[in-house]
Formats: sequence, structure tokens, C-alpha cells
Amino acid sequence: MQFDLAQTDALLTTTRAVRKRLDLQRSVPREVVNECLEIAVQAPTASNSQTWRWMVIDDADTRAKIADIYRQAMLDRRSVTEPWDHTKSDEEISAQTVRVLDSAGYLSENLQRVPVIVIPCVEGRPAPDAGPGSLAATYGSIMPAIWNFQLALRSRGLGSVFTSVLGFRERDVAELLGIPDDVMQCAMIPVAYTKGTDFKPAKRPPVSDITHWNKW
Amino acid sequence: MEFDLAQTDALLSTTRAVRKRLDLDRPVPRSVIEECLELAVQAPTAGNGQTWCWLVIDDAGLRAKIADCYRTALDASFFKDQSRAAADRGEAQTSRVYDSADWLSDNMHKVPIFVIPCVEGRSDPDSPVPIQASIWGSILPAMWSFQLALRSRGLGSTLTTLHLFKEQEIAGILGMPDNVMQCALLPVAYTKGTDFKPARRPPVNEITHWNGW
Repeated sequence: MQFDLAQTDALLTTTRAVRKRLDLQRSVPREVVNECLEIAVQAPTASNSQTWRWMVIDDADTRAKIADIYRQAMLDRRSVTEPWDHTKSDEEISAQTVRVLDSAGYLSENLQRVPVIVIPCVEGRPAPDAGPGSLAATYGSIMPAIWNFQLALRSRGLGSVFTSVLGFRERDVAELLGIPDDVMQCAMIPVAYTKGTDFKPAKRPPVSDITHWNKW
Repeated sequence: MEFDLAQTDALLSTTRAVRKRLDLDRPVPRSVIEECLELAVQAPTAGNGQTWCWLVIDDAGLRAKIADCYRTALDASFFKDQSRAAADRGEAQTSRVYDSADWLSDNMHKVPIFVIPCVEGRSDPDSPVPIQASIWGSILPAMWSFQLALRSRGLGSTLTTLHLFKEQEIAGILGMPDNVMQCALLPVAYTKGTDFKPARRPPVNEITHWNGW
């Protein structure tokens, strides 16, 4: 098959993390979510394991409860340092990043209004002493499917954003939704139609700055 | 923008893990890799961190050394045994995957390009799931975008992780600093033909739960 790169490159470069431009008024039919999930699970998994499970929440009360848990989780997150927290000095934090953080605050306040929340899960957890190979296989068996899902949404006029913070309250969510203990919640993806569909590629440093050929 | 779903759905559903159909004889120009990496880094990262870097290896000597690490990471018969076991369980698709992995292991050094996506900073195995998910969620979407971009241009690849059992050895070969974590190894080549089909998957309703488990 010959691909029309104008189409496919546009999909890969304009699928942004959408928060403020999620249309909170427009409902999302279940068929669209199912269709995008069908495409999502065409992604590969380690040793063809396909241990993914998809929690989808469109019930308003349940969404409100998840939003409450999410805001608690945001507070938990503040007490944890992530590896990239210290990679840049304050002066280096770009206007782009400031916008991202501002947008994340908006999402936290409005999550209960987002019509659909998707929690991608996998059955089983990495061993406590898992090395990088095992972690890469575990996360490498769900993240491509999640991104495929987000790309499929974008192609249909919907937007979403990958969030991980809810995981700080994984037990609370498991209790709320009846998710078994051996099922790992990998992310929380708010989903809605977008206000307008004209998204642009993001500004990025030249690829030559971050590519090493044959040696570091 | 209106997308042509015939095009975009085909891309998202026919980008397979390609091993035996990698064309080992056709060279891959560096410009194609760079183009696909430009598309790849449009993917999102946690906190807009963009801590990724991409090691690309097209030197034959280095590829041979890395392929040695890959091949010896597991027992020589591992994939064959797994393939047979899966066939015995009646899992034909999985059996084929292992058989194909076995072939790749033997032929890795012949694949024209290796790409090792990396992130600055290490994933601590003790970190809670949300931290792990942020780290891996900041590189795997870009990696999958890269694979999709390759597919759109007639190339194929497969996400492999075996070499990570010998990560330090490979870091030594390539002169990489300790605080850079290798996340995968993608062998990249043009594919033999470009007619790939969607994989058979169980119906989505069997793996979806609405509003409760």
C-alpha cells in the first residue's frame, strides 16, 4: 500500500495533548470509543501477550468521583520528585512548558466534565525487582496501543491527553470501579471531541540535537 | 482538518512487528531515518520533559557487536522452545511470533539500521506505577510514532527489549553515559512488499469494561 504522507504525517504531527480545547458540551457516542479501541489493539505486545484491558467511564457520577480522586492524586504528586524535575533550571523552563502546566491545572479542575474517561490497564504487574528489560516489555505492551488509540481519536475529531497522576491513588480507583488487585492501571485518558480540529505541529528543537549516529 | 480514514486507519492497523520481511539487502538512507525521527518527536512527554535522545547505528562493525549481545541475552533455544510450546497450546499466532523472533535473533547483524531510543534519567524499579508510566509514557509514544512513520514510507521495524539484559555492555560499546537509559532496540529496514494486514484480535467488547470491572 502507498500511503498519502500528507494525511499520515499530519496525523502523527498534529495529535497534541488536548485539555483546554476538549469540548465539554458535546457527548461522545460509545461506538466511536469502541471503534478507536479496535484500532488501538492493532498495536504490538511483547510475545503477543495482549494482556490489555480497557476501563471506560461515561457515567457522570463515576466521573465526578474519579475527578475527586484525581485532585487528591495531584496533591500526592507534589511530594514526589520525577527524574525530569531537575533536568532544567527555572530559567530554562520554556513558555511551552508553562502552557502545559497551566493546561494541566485546568484539566484537574474540570475533569468531571469530560464526557469519557479511559483507564488502560494490563493484567499482571512487573516483579518488584524487575530490570529495565522487563519494565520495557510491560510498558511497551500498552503504551503503543494507548498512543494508537489517541491517534485514532484525533483522526475522528476527538482529542485526549495521556495522564499518569491518578496512579498515585490506584487503590481508591480500583475500589470505586471494582478492578482486581492484579490488574495494573497504566494511565488515565480524558476523551472528548475537540473545539475545532486545526491543530499544528509543536515547536521542537532540531532532531540533529538529539540524535547520535554510531556513538554517543 | 478532515482526515481520510481509509489512509489513517490503514496506517494504525497495518503497522506490524516486522522481522522476516525486513529487506536485509536494501540500504536505508540516513535522511529517511531523520525524517521519521522528526515526526516521532511530535509525540507528547510528561511535563513537556522531552528528555529523549536517539542512538542510530548503521556502522556494520557496531551492529555486529550489538547483535552478539542480543543473540546471547537468552539461551539459544529459548525462542524455538517457546514457539513449540505456544503451538502445543493451540496459539498459532503467538507461535509464529516466537518463530519470527528466533529468525531475527539469528539475523539481527544483517539489519541495516538499529535505533536505540533513550531517555535521560533512570527508571527505578521501586518507583510507583505513575512514575514508571510517566517515564515510559514519555518515550514509547514517540517510538510508536517513529514506527508508524517508517511504515508510511515503506520501512518496517519491531520493538525489542532483549538487549536491555546487556545494557551496560552496549553502553560501553557506544560510549554512553550511565544516566542515560536505553528503552528498546528497533531494527529498521525497508520491507519486502508493503501489503500488511490488520492482525486478528479478539472482539474489543471482551477486553472493555464500561463504568465498572
